[in-house]
Amino acid sequence: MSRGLAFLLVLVGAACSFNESSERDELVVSAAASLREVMTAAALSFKETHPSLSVQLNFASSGALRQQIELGSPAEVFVSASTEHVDRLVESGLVASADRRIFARNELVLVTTKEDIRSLEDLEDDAVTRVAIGDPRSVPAGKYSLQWLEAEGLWERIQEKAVLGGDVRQVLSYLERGEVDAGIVYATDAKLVGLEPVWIASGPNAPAVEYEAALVGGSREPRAIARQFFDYLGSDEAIRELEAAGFIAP
Amino acid sequence: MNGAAFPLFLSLRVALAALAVILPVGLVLGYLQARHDYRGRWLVDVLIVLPIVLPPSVTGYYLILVLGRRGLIGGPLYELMGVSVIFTFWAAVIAAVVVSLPLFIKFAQAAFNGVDPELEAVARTLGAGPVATFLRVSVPVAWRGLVAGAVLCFARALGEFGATLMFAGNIPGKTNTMTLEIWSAYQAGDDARAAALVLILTAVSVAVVLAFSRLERLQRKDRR
Repeated sequence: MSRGLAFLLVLVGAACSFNESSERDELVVSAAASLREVMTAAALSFKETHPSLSVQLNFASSGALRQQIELGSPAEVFVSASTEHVDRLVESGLVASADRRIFARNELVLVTTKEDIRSLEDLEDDAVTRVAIGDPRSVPAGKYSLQWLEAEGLWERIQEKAVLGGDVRQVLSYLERGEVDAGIVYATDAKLVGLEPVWIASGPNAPAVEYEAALVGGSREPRAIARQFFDYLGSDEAIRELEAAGFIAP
Repeated sequence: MNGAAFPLFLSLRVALAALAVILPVGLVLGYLQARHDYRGRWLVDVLIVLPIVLPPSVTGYYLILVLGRRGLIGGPLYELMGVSVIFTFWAAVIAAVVVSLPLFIKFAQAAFNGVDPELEAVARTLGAGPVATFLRVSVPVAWRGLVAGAVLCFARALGEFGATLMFAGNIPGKTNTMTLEIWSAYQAGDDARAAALVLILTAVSVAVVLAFSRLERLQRKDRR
């Protein structure tokens, strides 16, 4: 009995010891999945001037991240792939309206692994059975894709074929694995895996893809270190990195 | 907001279709494991238990490796016949079968172990063949354990999440089962919808547990 108790105490002790990181100087940044590479690079560059800081990056769909922040996630900086999610945080008082800034722009592109798909309209072909887009309910890329397809008058027929990804990178991975015939992702995602877009959203039907950075505050004032990182994201250095990755400067 | 009816009925359809596969396969395998000692029996036992222990995401990954469009079986199937099961209703059924079949086999095995072999021997001496003995003696005697196993297995199929998410996707109007729909609604911040679905699944689960415990009590009474 007492041996079992000792064992339990050891387990609890071990579990707790994994959780002592709060001692260190840490900054949690939640960013849209499509920003994985540029935000990782930005965090590294930022660390050069803040060597003792540990930047914890958390990537998911912007909708899921917003939901986490509303439920009290420790994120202090949020970079969303759509201004809509920042709007909602401002409404709920978690972001001060002065603490938000357009971070970058992007384009929506159609990518495919099939040679006979050459335009957005080709998705209507019966030979195309599966088209991946992000889940419009929580993935901004998916919402933009839906707006685009609707504006082009194609959604009704493509809806049947839609496979929804939990974030934009999942759409890309479905495509790379050959599980879908085509997918709609950001130009930067296509560039990352070396897929040549067959169609780029342009003209009046193309949704404006705007990333927005925000400082998460709520009842407390954002920490100075969070504000420095937020400002760094608007610096020339950060913008150069963005453009190198194929994003469009704000 | 479209109703919760589609995910609910989809989940029920998936679980019932899974059960239709599981019952015959599970009865036979459970009986063989309970009654027959053969070389490599332990290996079959390990393979049967494995999906109970494997994390659902691991199971989902294996399913994609085997049945995806470029999978071991899924690849040739797609190349030759243009058929692909991933992201379809049947993908959800396959995921449900893989994770809940082991449960049923284990229950069936235990239930058949509780059947007095003498009863079966008597049936055989009275001229019944092995199939008739199985269907008319073993199954009826073990029925409470079998039903308990089926009920639990149905609940497990209804609750499948991880492997289904990976293998069947989460496609509204096609593969958005109750559990997946709860996840999507939560991700999208639609708490009212998530809560309604959670209540329904909780009620179903409570009903399953009550039915299960009642069956177990009856079974114990039988044995006495």
